[in-house]
Amino acid sequence: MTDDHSDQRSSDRQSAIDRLTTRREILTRAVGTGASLAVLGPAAAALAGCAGDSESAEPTTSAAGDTAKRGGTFRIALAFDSASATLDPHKQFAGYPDGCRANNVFDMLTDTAPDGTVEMRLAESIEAAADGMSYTVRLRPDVTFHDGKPLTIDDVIYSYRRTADPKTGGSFTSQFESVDAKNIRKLDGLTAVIPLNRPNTDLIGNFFLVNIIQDGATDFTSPAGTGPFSVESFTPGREFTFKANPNYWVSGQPYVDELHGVLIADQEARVNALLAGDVDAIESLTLTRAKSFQDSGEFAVRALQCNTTIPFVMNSQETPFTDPLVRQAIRLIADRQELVTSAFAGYGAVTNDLYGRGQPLFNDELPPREQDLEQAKALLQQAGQEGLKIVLSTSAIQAGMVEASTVFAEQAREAGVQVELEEIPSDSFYGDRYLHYPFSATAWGSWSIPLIYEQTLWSKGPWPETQWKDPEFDKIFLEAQGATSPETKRSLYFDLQERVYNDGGYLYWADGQWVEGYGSNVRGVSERTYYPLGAYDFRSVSLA
Amino acid sequence: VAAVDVQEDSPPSIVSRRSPLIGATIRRLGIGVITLVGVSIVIFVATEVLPGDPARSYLGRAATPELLEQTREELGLNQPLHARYRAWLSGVVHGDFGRTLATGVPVREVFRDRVTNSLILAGLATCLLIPLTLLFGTLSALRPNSMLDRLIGVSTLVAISLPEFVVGTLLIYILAIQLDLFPPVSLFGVGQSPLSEPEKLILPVLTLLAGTLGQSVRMMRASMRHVLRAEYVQMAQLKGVPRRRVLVRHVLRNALVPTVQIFAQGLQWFIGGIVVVELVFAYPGIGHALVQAVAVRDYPLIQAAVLVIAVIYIGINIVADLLALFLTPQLRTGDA
Repeated sequence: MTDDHSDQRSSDRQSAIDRLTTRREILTRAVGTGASLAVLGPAAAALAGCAGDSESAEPTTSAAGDTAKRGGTFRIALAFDSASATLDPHKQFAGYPDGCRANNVFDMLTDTAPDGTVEMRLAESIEAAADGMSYTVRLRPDVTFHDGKPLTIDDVIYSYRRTADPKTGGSFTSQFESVDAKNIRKLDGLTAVIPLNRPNTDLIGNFFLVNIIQDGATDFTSPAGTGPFSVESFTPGREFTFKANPNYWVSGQPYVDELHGVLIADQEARVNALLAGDVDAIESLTLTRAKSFQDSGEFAVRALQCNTTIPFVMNSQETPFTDPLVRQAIRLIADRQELVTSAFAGYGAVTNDLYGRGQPLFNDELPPREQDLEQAKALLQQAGQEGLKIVLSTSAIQAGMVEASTVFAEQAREAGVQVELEEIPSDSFYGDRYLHYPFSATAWGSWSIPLIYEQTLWSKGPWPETQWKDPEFDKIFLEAQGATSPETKRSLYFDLQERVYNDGGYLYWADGQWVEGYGSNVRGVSERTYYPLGAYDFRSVSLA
Repeated sequence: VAAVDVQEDSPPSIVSRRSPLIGATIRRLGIGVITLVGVSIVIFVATEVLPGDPARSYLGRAATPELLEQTREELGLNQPLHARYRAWLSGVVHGDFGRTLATGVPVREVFRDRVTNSLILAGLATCLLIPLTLLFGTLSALRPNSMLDRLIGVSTLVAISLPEFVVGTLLIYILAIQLDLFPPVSLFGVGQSPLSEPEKLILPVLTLLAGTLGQSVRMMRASMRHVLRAEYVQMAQLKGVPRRRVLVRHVLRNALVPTVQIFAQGLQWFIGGIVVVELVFAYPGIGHALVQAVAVRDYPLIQAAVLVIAVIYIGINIVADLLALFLTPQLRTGDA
C-alpha cells in the first residue's frame, strides 16, 4: 500500500512540475550558459521539495504502475566501491555502494520519501509516545526472509540493539545514541517498544538507516534479508548480482528479474559502458560533459537536486574565528554562484549558509546571502583583522572540493584576505586533525535537517565541526528534538537555523545534485535523494 | 674476416659450454630471489610510512578512538612491523598471500582470475609487439630517410609521447564511439575468460601496444643501423654475398641480442601500462586491483599485487639476460 501511495504522490508532483514546464527549460538554459541559478534556486527547490530537478523526463516518470514491463536485468555502474565492502548492513563503511547493497537485500522499518517525509516500509505503524520518550513499532504481518523464515519483532529488536551498541563497531551507532537499547520491550510477535534516554521525536527520521537482519545473524557472506532482491553473488570491490525476491511484500515488485552492479571507477569508462549498452544506469556523470550528453540525447541525463554539500567550516574555538565578525565577513566573501559554476559545473543550487533547503523543516524565511566585499572588509576592520591570513585545509575526498577551495581563495584575495590552501591526502583528512582544523572544507551527504543538526551542530554530537559551544543553542536543540507538536518543532528548528544563519561557523554555499545517466529503456527510477540513483531504490524500475 | 667466418661457417655449439650457462642461470636466479626479498621489505616499510592507515581509511569519519583501536586489533595492525613481516613472508613462501583486510577473503582468490586476465592482455600485446617491431624496425633501418622511414619515425614518436590514457581515450573515441567498430569498455564478469569475447580485447591491446611499440621500433632501428654499418657487413657485401643472405645471416643475427633486451623492456613497459589501460577500459586485471587496494590502504592486497608484479618484472629480466648469454658467444665463455 505504502508504495502505491508513494508512486501516486510522485506522479502528482511530476505532473505539477510538467505544468510549469518553463522551469525545466529555464534550468537547462541556466546550466548551459552558466548563468545564475540563484534567481530561481529557492523557487525551484521549494517547488520540487528536495527532488525533481529532472532535466530528462524519461527515466524519472515515476509511476511504472501495472503497465510496467516485467523481467530483464537492470545493470548499474557504481562510481566507487571498495574491496573492503561488506554485506553486513550495519557496517557500511564503504559508503554508498554498501548502502546500495544493504537496501536492496535488506529492508528497513521506514524510508525517506523524495519530499523528506517518513514513509512506512516494514513497519505498519510507528507511534511516538506523548512524552517523546519511546516509539511503539508494529510490523507488517506478511513479510518473510529470503530463506522463508517469517519476519518477527525479534529480528527488529536484534537489529536495533546491534546498531546502537558501540561494541558492534557499526557505521550508524552515533545516530541511535538516544536509544535505550537494553530496555527495548517486546509486546507481541509483531510489536515492540523502543525506549529512549531523552525525548527524541526526530529519531523516526533515522529509522531508514537500520536494515533489518535476522535475529542472531553474524555471518554475512550470503545473508538472508527481506529486501526486494536476494544475494546471488558478490565480489567485493568488483561486482554483485542479486535476484528478484519472488515473495517481496510489495506484490508485483520488483519488476526486473535481476540487479547487477559493477564497479567502473573511471568516469569516461562509465559513460562508454552506458553508450555501448553494457550497463543501463551510471552514477556520477562527468559534470563538465553532462550538458553535452544531455544535448546529444545519446542517453537520458538526470540532475536531481539534493542536499549533498561541500561547505567550508570555521572553527569557532580557533582564532580568528572566535570572533563572530570574522565568521560573518568570511561568509560575505563567497561568490556562491561562481563556486557552483566552477566546482559543480553549474549542477547545484546556491544556499545561504543553511543546510537542507527544500526539506519540511527548512527555514525559508531568511534572505539569500550575496557576496559583499565592502561589508566584509568593514567587518574585518571592525574586528581588527585587516590583512588577515588564514589556512584553508582541503582534500579531494569529494569531487569539486579542491576546486571550490581554490576559487574561494581567489575570491578572498579581493577582500584583502590571504587564504593559503593546505591539501591533505584523502585518507588522512578525517584523521587526528579533523574537528580541529581552524578553517577547512568538509562534505556531507543528503540527510535530514534534524540528523545534521544533531550530528554536527549540537555541541555533544559526534562531529561538531564548527566547535560552536552555545549553551542556549544546545538547550533549544534538545527542546526541538523532543518536541511532540509539529508546530513547536518547526518554530524551534526555525529559531536554530536563524542562529546558524546569523552566527554559525558554516559557509554552506550550495546544495549539489545527483547527475546520472540512464539508458533510454529505463523507466520508473525513484526520486529519493539520500543516495545516488534514486537512493538505489530499484523496486519500481522496469526496462521497456 | 676471421670473425665473420667463424660466425658464418661454424654455428655456435653449446654442448661444450653448458656448465658456464648453468652457473650463470643459478647466479641470476639467486640475484632475482635476493631482489625479491628486498622488494618485499621495501613494500612493507613503504606501506607503513605512508600517511594514513587502513583502519582510518576504512572507518572514515566514523573513526572514534575506541572503534579505531578495535578495528586495528581485528586487522592485526597492532603487532610490530617485523612480526607482521615474518608472518607474511612465511605465508608467501607457502603460497598464502594472506587475506584482504576488511572482508577477510583470501588474496589469492581476489587475484586468481585477475592475474590471468592481465597476462592475457600483456601476452596478446607481446604477440603483436615482436613481429611488428621486427617488421617496422627493419624496414625503417634498411631505407633510412625514405618516406616510409620518416612516417614510421614520426608516428612512433607521437605514440611514445602520448600517455596510455590519452591513446586509450582517442582510440575509444574514434574506433568505438565514432566508427562503432569495437566495444569501448571491457567488462568481464567474475570467472569469465576475456578470451570468450575477444572483440573486447582489441582496444586495450592496441592501447597497451601503442607506446611500447613506438619505443621498441625506434630501438630496433637504431640497433639495425649500428649493425648495418659494421665492417663485417660491409665486407660481406663487398664479397658479393647476396643482400638477403647478408641481412639474415649477419645483420639480423647480430642485432638479435640488443633486440631481446628491447623486447624485455617492452614487456616491462606493459606492466606499467596495464595499470592505466585497465582503468580506462574497466578491465578486471591486477593493475585495477592494485589501484583500488592503494585507495583503501588494503596492505595485504597491495603487498601481493606489487610482489606479483615484481616477480614478473624480475622474471622477464632473468630470461632476457639468459637469452643474451645464450646468443652471445663471448659473454657465454667469459672471453669478452
